[in-house]
Amino acid sequence: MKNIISILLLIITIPLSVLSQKSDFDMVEDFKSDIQNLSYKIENIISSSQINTFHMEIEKTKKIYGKNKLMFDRALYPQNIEQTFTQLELSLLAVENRLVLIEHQREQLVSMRNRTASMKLEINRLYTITDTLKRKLSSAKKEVNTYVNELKGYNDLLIQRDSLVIRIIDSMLISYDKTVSIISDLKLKKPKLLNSDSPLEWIYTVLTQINATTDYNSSFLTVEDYLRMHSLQIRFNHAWKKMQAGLITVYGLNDDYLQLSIEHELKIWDDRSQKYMWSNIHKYLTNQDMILSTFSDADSFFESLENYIQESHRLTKQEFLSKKGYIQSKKVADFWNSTFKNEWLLYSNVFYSGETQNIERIDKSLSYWENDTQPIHPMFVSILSLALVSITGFIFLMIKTKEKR
Amino acid sequence: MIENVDYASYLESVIKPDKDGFVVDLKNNIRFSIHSLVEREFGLNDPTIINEIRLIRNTRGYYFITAHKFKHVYVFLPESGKLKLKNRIEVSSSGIEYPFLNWREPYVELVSDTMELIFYLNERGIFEKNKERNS
Repeated sequence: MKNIISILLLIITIPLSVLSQKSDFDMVEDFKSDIQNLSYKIENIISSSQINTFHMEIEKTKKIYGKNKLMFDRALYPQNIEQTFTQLELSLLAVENRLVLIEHQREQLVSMRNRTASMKLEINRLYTITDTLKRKLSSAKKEVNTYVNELKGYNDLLIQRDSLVIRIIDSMLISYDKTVSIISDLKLKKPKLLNSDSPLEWIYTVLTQINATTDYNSSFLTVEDYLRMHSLQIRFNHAWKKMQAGLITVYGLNDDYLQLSIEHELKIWDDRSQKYMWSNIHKYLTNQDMILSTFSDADSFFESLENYIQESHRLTKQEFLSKKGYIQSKKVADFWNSTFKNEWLLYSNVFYSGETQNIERIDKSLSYWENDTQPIHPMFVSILSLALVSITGFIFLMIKTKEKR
Repeated sequence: MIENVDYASYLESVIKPDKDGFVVDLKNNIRFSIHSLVEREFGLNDPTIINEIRLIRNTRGYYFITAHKFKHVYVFLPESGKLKLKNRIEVSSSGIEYPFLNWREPYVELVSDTMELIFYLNERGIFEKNKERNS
């Protein structure tokens, strides 16, 4: 029975072996070699488009070697042919994943390159804008310089105008003084002189122009400017008061309209120039660490300044060893002499009642303060110390000598 | 006792002898000298004339050994410390060309490429022969 089964089995298996045409050993070796090659090729796939080809290759190989599955399973033990192909498929899948990832990265790289190119364009565009801005900034700087120059020109013109007004007023006064006797005669005869070049018209025009064009609030005006402009106003006012009656007589035609207008403009000029001058002096002194009580006219200013000097003098006169009081007094003196008096007295050659006394009093106070706080020369201190030591030594020697006797 | 043990190796081993004439079959865990086989086949005491031997084991545990130009297939049964010759099956009078062995249960298949002969062997001898290949 067993023999019959064996024969039957042989009849079945013989054609298979005949078809194989190779030794099982060689077939297994070929199989191993094919799998190894296939595995190597899979590992070296460079594009996901090849994946399908390899799937087909695996299937084809499986078909070829699958005919002898039993033999291969035995020969490959503990593995089997299915496991071998499954491993190949897994390798292919891993490679496919890797390639997809790489290709995705490649796509990302391309996208990044595109974005970089776009950013470069944007940067270039920004550079262009920056260049435009630079040009605009340069242009603006030029405009600022022009503006500064114009302002400087404006200040210079103000000074020139003030100087011109003074010269004309002075020459008018001189002319007026020379013709004052003629005017007296005219007063008596009451002639009717008609003159289109009336000095009254001119004075009125000058006053309206000054009030209309002077910007007292300008941040470019200095304390010196305010003082000079106020000084001019005082001088002008004084000249007007002097000439007023005679000029009205000659040119007024009994019409007091022009006179009132001139008075009105003079008042505006006085109010405005004083208001801005005192407030700016206060601001300037505060910035210089000179804190004065408030003032709004000449009297209150002199009083406030004198009080400040005296109080500071009192506080610093004991500090002769330090330079603090002396430096402070010099700073106040510098403002008083170089800034205030220089401009205050520039045009005003007429002082109101008590002004001279006020100025003299402040001069004196400042002088006392400066003298009291003048620091002692170090050499003097050294000599004094030396003298004291010498005297002490001498006294000591005298006593010793007396004791010996 | 354990019965119904299958010793078949299913796949032949192709082994190159070393310079001392020893072959090692790691699959079957066996190492032996081929001196006596070479002497028997060729009358020479030089195992290096054999490039490789082919060895397969059947279900009952017999080793079938042959090589290129051998006239016989040798059948051994392993015993303690030795392989005991059980059969010497003559397959060619002039020596078989490039033979190989396959396991075709329950027989060992011997194929010669050039002679186009197929033998189905067991430990007792040739079960069937002269089947032409590619037929």
